[in-house]
Amino acid sequence: MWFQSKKPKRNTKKQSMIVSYFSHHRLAAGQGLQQIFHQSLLNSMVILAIGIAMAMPTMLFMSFHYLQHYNNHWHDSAQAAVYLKSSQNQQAIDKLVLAITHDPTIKSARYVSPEQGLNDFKKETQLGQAAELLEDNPLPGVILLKPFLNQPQEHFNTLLASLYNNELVDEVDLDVNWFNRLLSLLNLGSHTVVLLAVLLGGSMLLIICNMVYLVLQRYSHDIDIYLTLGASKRFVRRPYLYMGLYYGTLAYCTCWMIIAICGVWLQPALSRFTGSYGEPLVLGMPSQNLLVITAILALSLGLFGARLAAWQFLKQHR
Amino acid sequence: MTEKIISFKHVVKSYALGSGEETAINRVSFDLKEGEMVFLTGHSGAGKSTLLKLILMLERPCSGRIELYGQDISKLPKRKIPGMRRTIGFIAQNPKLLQHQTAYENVALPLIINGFGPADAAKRVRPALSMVGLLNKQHRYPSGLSCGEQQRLGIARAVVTKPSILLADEPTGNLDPSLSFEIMQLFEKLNQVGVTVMIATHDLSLIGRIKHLLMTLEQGRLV
Repeated sequence: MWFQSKKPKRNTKKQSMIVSYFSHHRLAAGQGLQQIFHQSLLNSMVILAIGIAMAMPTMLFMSFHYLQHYNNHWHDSAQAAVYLKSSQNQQAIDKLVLAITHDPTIKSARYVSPEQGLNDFKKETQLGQAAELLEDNPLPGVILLKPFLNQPQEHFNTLLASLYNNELVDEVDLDVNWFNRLLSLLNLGSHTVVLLAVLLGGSMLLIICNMVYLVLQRYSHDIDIYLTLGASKRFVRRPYLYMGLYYGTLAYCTCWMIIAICGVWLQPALSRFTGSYGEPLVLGMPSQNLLVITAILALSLGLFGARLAAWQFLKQHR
Repeated sequence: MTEKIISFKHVVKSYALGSGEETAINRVSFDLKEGEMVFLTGHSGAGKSTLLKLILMLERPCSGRIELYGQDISKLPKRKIPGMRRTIGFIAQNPKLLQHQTAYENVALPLIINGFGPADAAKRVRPALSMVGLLNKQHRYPSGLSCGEQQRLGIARAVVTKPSILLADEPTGNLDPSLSFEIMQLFEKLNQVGVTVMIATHDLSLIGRIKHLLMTLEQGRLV
């Protein structure tokens, strides 16, 4: 008879144990994959839902990233125009320009004389002949201000208020507020992206947790046998952790596929829109950092969701 | 001197039942030495299965002390239970086989749990299947095996790791008398090579044919 041993035996050869460890990982990886293919339609829908949940904050993040890039371009178009009363002394004007230039909120200040203004008008509007018919130059002298937009708005407003009260100044036309509103909107948007990412990440976690838990319930009888035969919890949950990893991986691929499709579809409209601001936007490949970060997040959420389901199930299951 | 392999000292196990409680095992004490074979008998509900579950650590005693290989398992930390459980072979009345795995894979399962690689496992699975006469049916699924064959497959799975203790809970409950006797002879063979065997059964005819120690439980008490 082959059975001759009295003592409890366990495979103790180190090399053999390493082989068996990896062998079981391979087996568990295969079992996890089998589970995904077992109900392929249901799992495809789940993976698509998780992929969409991942794609939404990722796309928003990318959009804000592109807008931030455009900030630098739009930064130069944010300015205020200080219209001066007519027939002012040139010395007084130079003094005022100098005073404005020294203000810490002002990046640059440039005086455009009525004559220069008329010349620019002729060049830019192609209405030179019409302008020739005018007896007098109707344009006032203008000081064009470009503020530092990262400075507190209050400082800039104080400067503008003092300019309003200046005897040389007729009117102040502010072309900056829209930009500040845009900055605030971007700031709000980036906060919204984080919030959305957290909420959708949470929902992704719960979906994976629920799916793995349902599979665990379906294999409750088998798990009972494993535990009776002396399997550790780590051994039992291993295939399900792989399942979570597969969910994460497939959701990650789905997410980038959705983003690519959306990118191709949005590109023409986006180019037209951004082109109206001077530089058409061309959507490119996402940064490597973003690819890596989303991969880590997807895999972690998949793994953690599966771990949570296994923990909850095994806690209740003897 | 032969070592005590299983030892019960005033063990009590009761279950909450509505407002009251039902005592399944009531101050049971006994010692089982290494290499012994014992029949545990009694009526249905006498506490036979509960006693086996206590040894297998599927249940914890309410009071008393249970020792396995001289170690108190009543208060064994949960993380150490699987390791201790692997040293025991268990055969249930319903053999509890994995229906989606072949006979070979079912028998190999405890070896994989014990950390055996596929090649090492194969060296043990085939002799175990051969011992129970199922080597030629190793690729069949449990649904393709008869009741008796499934029970024998359960035995092969229980002994494939060469455990020191073999527990059987009504192993012949679903079998005809000739097949039951055949399986009992298998247990005897295992006992002859040093395995401590404890069989819970209420089949008195079977006990009469095989002479071994007898323990009788009545309403949770050893009589």
